[in-house]
Amino acid sequence: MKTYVAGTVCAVLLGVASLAQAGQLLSPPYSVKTRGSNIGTKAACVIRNTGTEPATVTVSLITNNNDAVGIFDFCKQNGKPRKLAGGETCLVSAELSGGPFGLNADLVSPGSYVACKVTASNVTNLRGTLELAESPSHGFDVYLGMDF
Amino acid sequence: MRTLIGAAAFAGLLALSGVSQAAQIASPTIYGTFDQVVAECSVVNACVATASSLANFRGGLVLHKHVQDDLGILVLHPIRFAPLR
Repeated sequence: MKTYVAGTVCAVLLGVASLAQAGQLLSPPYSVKTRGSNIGTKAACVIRNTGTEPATVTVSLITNNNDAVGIFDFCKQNGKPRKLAGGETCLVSAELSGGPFGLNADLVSPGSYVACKVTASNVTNLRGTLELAESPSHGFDVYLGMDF
Repeated sequence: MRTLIGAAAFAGLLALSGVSQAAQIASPTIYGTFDQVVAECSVVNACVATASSLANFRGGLVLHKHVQDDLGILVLHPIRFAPLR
């Protein structure tokens, strides 16, 4: 019985520990605004593996309306999450809909928030940057950037 | 012995949950420019587990100013951003 109880306790604690290891990095959100007449926003999420060990990363730009139109996704290879070697970087970019309604936006009232998420078995050595620039691009001049 | 192990495990779980409940994220104080007009704070929750924790919350405080676009329409441009930590 003593062994059974100890085993159960160990399993529970291991379970809790594994939850903590479900690695995820998440950027702060930004409620995308209208930049001007006929000016939209492009978002780029850049993930860098600063470690020496490879890491398989799942990177996504998330919005409240799923209204991002993908441009590039260099964080996938043959449609699957890519393994980033130590020091390697990948990028996901998308065109976003802007509008005055932000988090209250829906399909009728335009606007959205954007954030970037990366998951991996271990995110200790991963670093992310979410950058927003005007579209059409002026050399991808970033008007807002955030590190995570 | 069984009671002791049980109590130790319970205490451990209480300690873990206690840490997650004492939770707050806040921004630093920021200033944009003299013509800042709107401050906006937004948060996103990407919890991967059911837990009363802010571990998977992120937030940002943004200051905006008004800008007239080419057609004379007022739009908001962000001038300063600070993450909630």
